[in-house]
Amino acid sequence: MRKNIKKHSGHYLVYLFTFGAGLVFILLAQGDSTLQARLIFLIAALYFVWAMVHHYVQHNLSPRVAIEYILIVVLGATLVLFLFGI
Amino acid sequence: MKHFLRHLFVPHESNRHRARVLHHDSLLLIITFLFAGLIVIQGIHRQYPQVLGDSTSITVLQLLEYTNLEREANGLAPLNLNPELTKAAQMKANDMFANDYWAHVSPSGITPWVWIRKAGYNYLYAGENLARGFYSSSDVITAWMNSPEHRANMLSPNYTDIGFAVESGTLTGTETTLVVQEFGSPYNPNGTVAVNPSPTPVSAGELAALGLPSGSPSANVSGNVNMGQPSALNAEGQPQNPPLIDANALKRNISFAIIGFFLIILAIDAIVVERKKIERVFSHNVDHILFLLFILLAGYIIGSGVVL
Repeated sequence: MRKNIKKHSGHYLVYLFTFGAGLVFILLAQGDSTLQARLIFLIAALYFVWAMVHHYVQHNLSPRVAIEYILIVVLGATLVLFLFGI
Repeated sequence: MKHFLRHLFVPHESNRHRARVLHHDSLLLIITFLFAGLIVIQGIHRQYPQVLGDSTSITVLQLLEYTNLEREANGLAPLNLNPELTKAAQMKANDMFANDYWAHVSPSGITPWVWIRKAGYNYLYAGENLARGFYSSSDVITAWMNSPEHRANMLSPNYTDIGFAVESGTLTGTETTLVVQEFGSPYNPNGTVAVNPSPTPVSAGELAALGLPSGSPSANVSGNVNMGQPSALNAEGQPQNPPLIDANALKRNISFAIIGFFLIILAIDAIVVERKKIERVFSHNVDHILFLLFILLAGYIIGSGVVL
């Protein structure tokens, strides 16, 4: 696992930057819940795209991998619905 | 029992070295239960708001007390709760909910000064602080005191009167408690004090650049407005009939508990696999942990109150 992170440190830097930038934008959107929700869903979608590219580059992209990421993204999105009191 | 728990939460031969709750079918089941739970909670919230409703402990009397404590601590005279300013705050809160905006100036260009004048308060100085998403009076006052512009309003020697509105409702897509704080000092044209004929609002940034409305105050305010306290409060300034369970707190707690649960399970999974040198074709634990941490932090940001 550690080797994998070191080997693909560039991928993880993009990943962390995306999340960091997302948090900053969510902070800047304080008071506009709709925009905040859209930003979180956008970051969740970007997470899925990042994962697909990451695994494609690693040559281990498969339907099983894609399904796992979809499930985690849907879980996160559901929790966001809870957080927003929707 | 021990074996069952291990099977559920710890990588082992019995679960093909992946905690059972992290298997695809388990995740799907949890998501389904979450959706069903959300629908049930929303249903109870709508049908039985006295059981599962919106709750806040913010009261006008506490807001007044804490505001004056801050002023006294800074050597300033306490402010008087003014019926007209309270009415103006109430009208402003109602307008924000009715037109779904979060700003000092409404989408149609109505400034806070219009509400103050409409309420019958002829001001020399006036200002406005707004807050939403807080659960206690002390948190609201602390947030205002931590913001330089709002602090300037709270501690301005120009004001003698104050009015508050505390209203719950749906604003920009979120159920929230809105707090409006209107400041003022009356304009007395026969007074002996040399004054600037144009009232000087001391308030948040966007207000500084705004022009003030001209013309005499309008008194054609319709509706029955409680002059002393917002209608949602009783004589002691406490919310009337608070729900048995606060819906927003329940949903947030469920959300944070599930995120925490998955963070722990993913961390255990990653640690056990690493220690036992279990070979996996692929492992996404770190990716998922970071994603759930992002959701957690985002939840913390959106759940915290905001002032304007």
